[in-house]
Amino acid sequence: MKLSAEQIDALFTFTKKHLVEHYDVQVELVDHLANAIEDQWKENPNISFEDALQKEYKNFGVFGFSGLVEQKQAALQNHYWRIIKKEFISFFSIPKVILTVVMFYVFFQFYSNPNSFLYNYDLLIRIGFIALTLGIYIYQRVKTPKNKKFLINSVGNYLYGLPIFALFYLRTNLPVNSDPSLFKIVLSSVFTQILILFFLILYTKIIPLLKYEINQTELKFSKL
Amino acid sequence: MKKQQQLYKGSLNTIIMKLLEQQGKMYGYEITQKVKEITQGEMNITEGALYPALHKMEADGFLDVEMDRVDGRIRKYYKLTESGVKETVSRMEELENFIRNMQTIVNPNLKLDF
Repeated sequence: MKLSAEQIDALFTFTKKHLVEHYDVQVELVDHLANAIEDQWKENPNISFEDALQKEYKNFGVFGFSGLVEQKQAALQNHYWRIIKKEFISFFSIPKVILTVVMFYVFFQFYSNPNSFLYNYDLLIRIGFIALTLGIYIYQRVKTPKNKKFLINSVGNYLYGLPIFALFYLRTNLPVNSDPSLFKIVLSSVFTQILILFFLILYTKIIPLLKYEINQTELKFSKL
Repeated sequence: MKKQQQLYKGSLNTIIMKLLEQQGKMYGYEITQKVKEITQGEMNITEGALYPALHKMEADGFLDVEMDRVDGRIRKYYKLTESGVKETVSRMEELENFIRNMQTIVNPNLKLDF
């Protein structure tokens, strides 16, 4: 005996009720539950749809589906973090290390000269920088279609949200017209450099990759 | 869960990969049933362990996903990617070594051939 269209719909509702909001995860769980229920019917045709469903749901353990969604998100986030790490390390090997050294030199010069013309605008540059990243984040959140929610979209929101930590950047500036110690100059240069490299990796590697993956997922589903 | 299930736990990914290598592509429920069938009910992969394992291997790039419409619902098939095939070979080697070593410890007189 096969499940009817109404029963399949009921399974979708069941996964939604158990806090699975992403369509791609719902699809996989619905098929799993449907197969399991059909197999139960083979052995005992008298068991009701509801009972068979409850019996199967128990197999998912005490956390039900929620553990499953979280673990999938964590697996994808880790995947992107590994790429970020790999890319970051590449900035310290030939040939990119040249760029890293040049950047450090520029920042070091900038921070060792608190009397320079540009230094007065340091805070303004920082605020502009943070406003820009926040702007991109909000733009992306608004742009993401609400109806087509795949799990990778939630990972996308997480990655776009990462630049929020740039807010800490505001706290690290050196006072104007002061005489900074070497330690402070190096610290500021390193911090700024890490931030710039992170943004470079995020917007040139990670975001394009993520966009590609989202497109692929949408394409796979649109073909069905 | 039976006590011996603990022993299988560490090899779950390797088992899944080996199955996919043999079968080409499989869906989640099919994997649980196949394992049950092969081990004659001795080993039971729980859903709570299977899907996180599949999703992790997918994120790691070892598995690729294909979808099809079957019986009025969408079925998600998993298959090995190129790097997945390589990983399967190295993991199987590791597992065979492990079995050999365990065999030597448990029963030093018995020789096992692979």
